[in-house]
Amino acid sequence: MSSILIPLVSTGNVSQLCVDLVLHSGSEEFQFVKELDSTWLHSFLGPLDFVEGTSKPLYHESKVSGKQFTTPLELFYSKRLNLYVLQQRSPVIAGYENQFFKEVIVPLIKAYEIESVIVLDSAGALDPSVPFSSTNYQNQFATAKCQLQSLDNISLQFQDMLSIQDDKHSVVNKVFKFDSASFQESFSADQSVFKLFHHLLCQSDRNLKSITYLSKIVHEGDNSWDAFQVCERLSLMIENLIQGQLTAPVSWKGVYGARPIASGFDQGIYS
Amino acid sequence: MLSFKQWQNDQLPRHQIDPVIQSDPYSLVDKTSPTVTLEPANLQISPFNHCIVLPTSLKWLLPKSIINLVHIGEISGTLSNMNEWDSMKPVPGMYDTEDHIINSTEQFVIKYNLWKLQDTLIAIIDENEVKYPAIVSNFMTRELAQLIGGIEDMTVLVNSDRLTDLKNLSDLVPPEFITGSITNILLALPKKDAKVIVVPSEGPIGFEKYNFTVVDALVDEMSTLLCSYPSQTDYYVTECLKLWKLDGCTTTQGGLYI
Repeated sequence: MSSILIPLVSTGNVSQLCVDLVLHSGSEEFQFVKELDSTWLHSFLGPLDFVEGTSKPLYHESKVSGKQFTTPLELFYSKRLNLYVLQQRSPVIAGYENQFFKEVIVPLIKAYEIESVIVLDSAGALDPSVPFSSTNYQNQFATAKCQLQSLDNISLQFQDMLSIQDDKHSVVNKVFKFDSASFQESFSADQSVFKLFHHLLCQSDRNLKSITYLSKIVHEGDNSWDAFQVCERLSLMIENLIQGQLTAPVSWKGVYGARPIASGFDQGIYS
Repeated sequence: MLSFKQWQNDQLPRHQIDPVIQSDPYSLVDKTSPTVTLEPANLQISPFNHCIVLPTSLKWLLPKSIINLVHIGEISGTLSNMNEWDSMKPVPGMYDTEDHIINSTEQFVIKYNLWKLQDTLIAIIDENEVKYPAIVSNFMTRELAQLIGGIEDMTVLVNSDRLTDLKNLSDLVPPEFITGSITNILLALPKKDAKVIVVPSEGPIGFEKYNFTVVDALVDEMSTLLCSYPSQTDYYVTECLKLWKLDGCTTTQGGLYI
């Protein structure tokens, strides 16, 4: 069954860090597939990331084809896992999430005939857009699943549902079942994931069989440990995802800035 | 004396009926996309053999006293229906003060000017992350990349606060990266062989400041591109430094480090 891993840009960028771990730990088997349209994202261009001392870093094959830089949105594929992995390096421009999901993500899932979608997310403990559970608010993770095979005429249910009057009774919340220990029990329309799931369900084709959601409560700061924890949790959902040790790329070293400490003050600028 | 009205007794506590934040009822509806126009529409690019793209914060590299630019056109980006503006704010509440309050009927326009210097096309990109919605810049830079994409020799200057020395884009090492409108042009260019100089800077996008080491290296680099004969170089360097100092002195103390 072909699957895709989608990291949403959210608190602490934990989803992106987790995808970094997945891609760079399995750099020998993950192939760069293509760059995706970044019209709806903030711009980003950087050098190709790698793990020090690896004989086959990520992009080892694409370098031959002339790929020089990393871009905001890239797709990778592992044949062993039959898994596509999306890496999103910059956030969607606020207000344009609908266009991004409808014009980039949903067509991608259709084009590659994806059967299973796994979405990574994170939430700050005080995030006003997350409807926290009144009983499980101390738990670290939230997981939800939707089996599309068990639903009939899902697209019909979505018609006339563009205007949300009540998050809790929206179709997205009707079809997703949260685990009993999740820190949230439903999705709020203010969460990006709500928009993604709405468009995914609304426009899904017959190939798509299941959608899984995994979110973690985080506090912004050094979120590398959160990423390792999400990775461990993710490996319970995707069998044999990680073989060996989780390794972080060199870019992580500069999370708190690689610049030398300023020693002077020249023309009003630290130098 | 306290007085209770009968209907108040029947009311549920607020937290039981209302979510803390009301969801936007139109959150699944597409936002308006910007429109981009090129003036003049039939701008001919074929006479140009070189192209230089730089942000407005580096305009001091083009002193009027020595570089005689001729205006040849402009690209405009318009975002209307600004009642949607609320959700596009980079920081909530950012525009709620003084004259930044935008009426629902108002349009938002950004312009990039195109100039000519002999057979060189110069595009000056107006960046301002505080004022300009990123989506407008995204659409405009894609249009510009399409327009100038065919020019053989291209030099692009882009700011970055992630490094300390002047570097070519291909020499960056993780976690260094670039962002902003000019990065968007690079992403949209059909060919990836442009010479890209990453200029170390400090401050928000559109309000960057540069230290002397960077300015010195940059002026040297640009003099080889812009000066037609060697004796012009000294004058060019003097003029650039003068403009940079004027530019720096007027705004450096304006709030960056207060």
